[in-house]
Amino acid sequence: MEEKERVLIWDIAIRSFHFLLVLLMAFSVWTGIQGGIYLEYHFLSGYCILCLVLFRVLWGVLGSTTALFKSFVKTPGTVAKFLLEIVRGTAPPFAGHNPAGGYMVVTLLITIFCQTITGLFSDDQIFNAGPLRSFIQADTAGMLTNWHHITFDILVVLSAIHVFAIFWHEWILDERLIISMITGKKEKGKESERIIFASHRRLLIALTISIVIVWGLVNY
Amino acid sequence: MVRKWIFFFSFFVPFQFSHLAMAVSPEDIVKYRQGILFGMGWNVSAMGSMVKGDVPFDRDKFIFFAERTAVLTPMVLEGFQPETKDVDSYTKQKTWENLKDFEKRMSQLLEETEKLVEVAKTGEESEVRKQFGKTAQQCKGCHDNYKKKS
Repeated sequence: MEEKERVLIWDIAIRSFHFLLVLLMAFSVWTGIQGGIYLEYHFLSGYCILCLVLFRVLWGVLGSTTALFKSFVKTPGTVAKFLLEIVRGTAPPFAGHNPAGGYMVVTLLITIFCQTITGLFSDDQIFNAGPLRSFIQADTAGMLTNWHHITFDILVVLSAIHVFAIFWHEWILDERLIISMITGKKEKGKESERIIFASHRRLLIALTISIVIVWGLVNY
Repeated sequence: MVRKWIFFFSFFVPFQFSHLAMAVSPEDIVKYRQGILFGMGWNVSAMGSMVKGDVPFDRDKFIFFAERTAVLTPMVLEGFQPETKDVDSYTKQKTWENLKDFEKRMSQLLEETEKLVEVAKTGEESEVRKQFGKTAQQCKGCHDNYKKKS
């Protein structure tokens, strides 16, 4: 097999975001299941995840081309067409997110956002309570804690679909997505030349804004 | 040890007083258990704020709260009588089908709580923290399985 030229698709911000999110979510699941004093770390992990989500949203507006929402959120018709092509095996490879993957990004971001926000209002009815819990009534907190568990179940399903799709690309479509997500590089395609990478200054701005917002929410 | 005997004795209390059951309405039994559990929550939260560092660790106070929790724990089960299953409460219906498991978990909670009292008296602060965590996880066990959140 001939080696094709590999070019950078995903900037360091997107890659770091992605794997930090994976690690923190795994850590949150574990600490959440443990409960008790582990919830202290569960909370910290949740704040970091909320930071990451806000950062990703900002990066979807300010960031590099492949991170921009406008570059990968396509019309539902395009998605339907793409899914049909996937099944037929005629789908073209995409440099960034493909049309279906684009919607998965948005869905995951929204769900994870809901997960962290409901967490801020949740309590364990033992001795732990989220930082915004005291602003609402006990029954509302109970309801939001329930939602916190429901969105968790949704996230499990979404993650399973996400992982399934990755292995579909790896094994069925013969695309090396996992290594691309680590190195950021993909085989050169026609789209990859048009990628503009955002500056580190923007990265710093987006990161600062998201940290300040979460810090404010938690310490309000 | 004494508490353990009270605990085992408390299993038989409902049967011994069953001939008086007409006098106590299921609603009152629910109120009773909710009151006890509220009292437990009160004391556990007080220990929790020390463990989390919201207030400074005070060993005497911690022992005080731990002992009160250990006193209240065996009383909880008295309030979980099957005749209360139709009363609207935070208790899931499956509790009544799994009473054996529930009782087992309650006795484990008592063990951990008694251990907490011991550790609070003699152990390092970090050990107290650890044992408090174990006790709270025991609380969580039943909450996850048998308690509705709202």
